[in-house]
Amino acid sequence: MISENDDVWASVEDTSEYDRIMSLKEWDHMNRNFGNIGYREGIIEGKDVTIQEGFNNGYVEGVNIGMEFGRLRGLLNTLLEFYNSLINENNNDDELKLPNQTSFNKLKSLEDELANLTADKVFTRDYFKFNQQENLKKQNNACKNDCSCLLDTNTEKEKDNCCNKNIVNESNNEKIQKFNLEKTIEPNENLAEKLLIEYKEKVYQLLDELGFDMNST
Amino acid sequence: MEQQLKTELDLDDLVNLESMFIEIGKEDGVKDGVKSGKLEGFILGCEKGYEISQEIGFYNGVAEMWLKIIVDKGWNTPKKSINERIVKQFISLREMISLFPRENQQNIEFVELLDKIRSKYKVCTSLLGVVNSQKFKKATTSTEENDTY
Repeated sequence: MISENDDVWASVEDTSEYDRIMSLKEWDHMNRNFGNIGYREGIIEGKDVTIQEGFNNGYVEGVNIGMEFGRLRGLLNTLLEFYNSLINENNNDDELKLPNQTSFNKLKSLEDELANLTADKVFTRDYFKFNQQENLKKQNNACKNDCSCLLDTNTEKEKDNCCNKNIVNESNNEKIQKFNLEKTIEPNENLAEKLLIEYKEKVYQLLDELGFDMNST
Repeated sequence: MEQQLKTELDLDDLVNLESMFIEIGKEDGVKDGVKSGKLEGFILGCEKGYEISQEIGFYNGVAEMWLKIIVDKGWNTPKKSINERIVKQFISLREMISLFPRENQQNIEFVELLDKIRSKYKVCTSLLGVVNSQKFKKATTSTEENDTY
């Protein structure tokens, strides 16, 4: 049978079978090609919808972390500058004597570390991975800021309605519990924040050694 | 005549089919695009926010430390007469920094504030005589180092 189908000189009945197969093939072919074109268009269109929102969310996170890292770096940089000027002037104040060599070296290397902390070292792949999971959780549970139904609705009112729908069903106690749970989990698992806390402790400890109590003000 | 009409109809059907496939593909694409846009935007925002705020934070830390050295520790600047002026300038720098928005602002005031903070910082450091040595330098990637591992 198959050999007959492939026959170029097939009879009339066979031609219709041949046409059917060919049109099926053509159908699949078109489906794939135009489907891909559509998919590509859709990706761009879909990104347009959320990229700004995503950027704004990320920006807040970046500013909060970057501000603190910058501050730590500024603190150490100033002290380094200050000690260097003391060395050059040979000016030994009673209150502000030069630190010993080990502390001074520590200061130098810690400042250097902070100065080389680029965004990609603070916000690692794992950080974003975790963050994405968190966002998904939020969507499923409390439908907080990241409301998946935002995309289908246009007016503010509709947003409110859809966002409240899930929350109203929860009792207050449940909400508080959930909130507390998130609070306790977050500092441990937000990797950028964790790194910041680590560095902050290091810097404060060193400054304390050098006679600067950062917790006083 | 009839023949011509037939082919036109066929073409119409074909075009419809094309756009139907495109629409179906698009639906999937939009869904995935929405998801990846959120993440892509987030990553980009993180980087940009981090970069810009690191500079502002640096100025903040510098001001904080100099104030500690001068006010708390009673250190006198090389020219004692300008002590007070330096303190004043640093305090006003810190006030400006506290106004720095924590959210993404797409307006001109943001750029103006950034310029104001930068030039105020310059005033402070030049009063102290450290304008060249305490410039903010962008964090640099030490990729060459990492590559050798």
